[in-house]
Amino acid sequence: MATIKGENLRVMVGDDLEHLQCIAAATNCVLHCALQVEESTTKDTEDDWIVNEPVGLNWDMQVESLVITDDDEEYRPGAKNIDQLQVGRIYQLRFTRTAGASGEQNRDAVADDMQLTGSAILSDMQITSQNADLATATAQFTGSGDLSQYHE
Amino acid sequence: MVGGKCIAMATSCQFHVSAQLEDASTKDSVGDFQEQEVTGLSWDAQTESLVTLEDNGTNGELPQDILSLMINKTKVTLTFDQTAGANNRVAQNSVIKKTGEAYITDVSISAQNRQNSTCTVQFTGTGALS
Repeated sequence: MATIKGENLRVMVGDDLEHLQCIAAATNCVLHCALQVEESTTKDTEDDWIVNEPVGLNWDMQVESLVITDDDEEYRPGAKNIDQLQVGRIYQLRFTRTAGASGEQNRDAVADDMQLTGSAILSDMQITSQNADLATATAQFTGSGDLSQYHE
Repeated sequence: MVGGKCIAMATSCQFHVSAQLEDASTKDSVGDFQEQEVTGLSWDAQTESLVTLEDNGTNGELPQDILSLMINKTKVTLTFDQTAGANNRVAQNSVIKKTGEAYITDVSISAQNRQNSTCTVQFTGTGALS
């Protein structure tokens, strides 16, 4: 079995699904999905074990990148920069496998099972600049509505 | 094992059982130490794996399948057991075997540049563990 390297899973962002772009100079991304359960143990329940019922789903994505300058011609074209995104705004997101070395700047999505999409609000954005380190940016997207398989 | 299938490319797993306690100390209690009563039992499990999209016929549970089970709120049968055999995926029905029904309550896929991508899955038990 082939593992998927971290660089080959990326988050793409945009205003609509037809025009999504990768986050420029990304270093890390996380897709997180959770099912909330509620305890449904009652007086009728046999034995001591807690019984649960599923009640709701939520999802979020987090992306980390390096901060790049306005005139960086290597990274800026054809990509979104975290510092250009607006906190509180809703975006279309796609968590996808990318083509790696064969795709230009590793930004070409591959059509397979690891393609998930949904609408999300940019709920948190942070830029960190530690002396003598590269400045980094982190974007937290909170899903609003379904997370579903992306179909071309 | 989820419904008889091992998590593909698993690297770690954790099985956890806990007893909920309630303070049963009363004015009749002797001394300063609390007395406890068990009011309920709960269990959960967690697995970590590398991310792969194909199991090459080895019958492993893949991240995208786990995600679908969670989104569909499917109750799964979870088994924690010693394994051996082909791909180390044959349950041995050993003395440590534990099985029960659970919901998949948390899935996290992490992709760090220059590292293998990883998938962490959290299961929350519902009902008895046997």
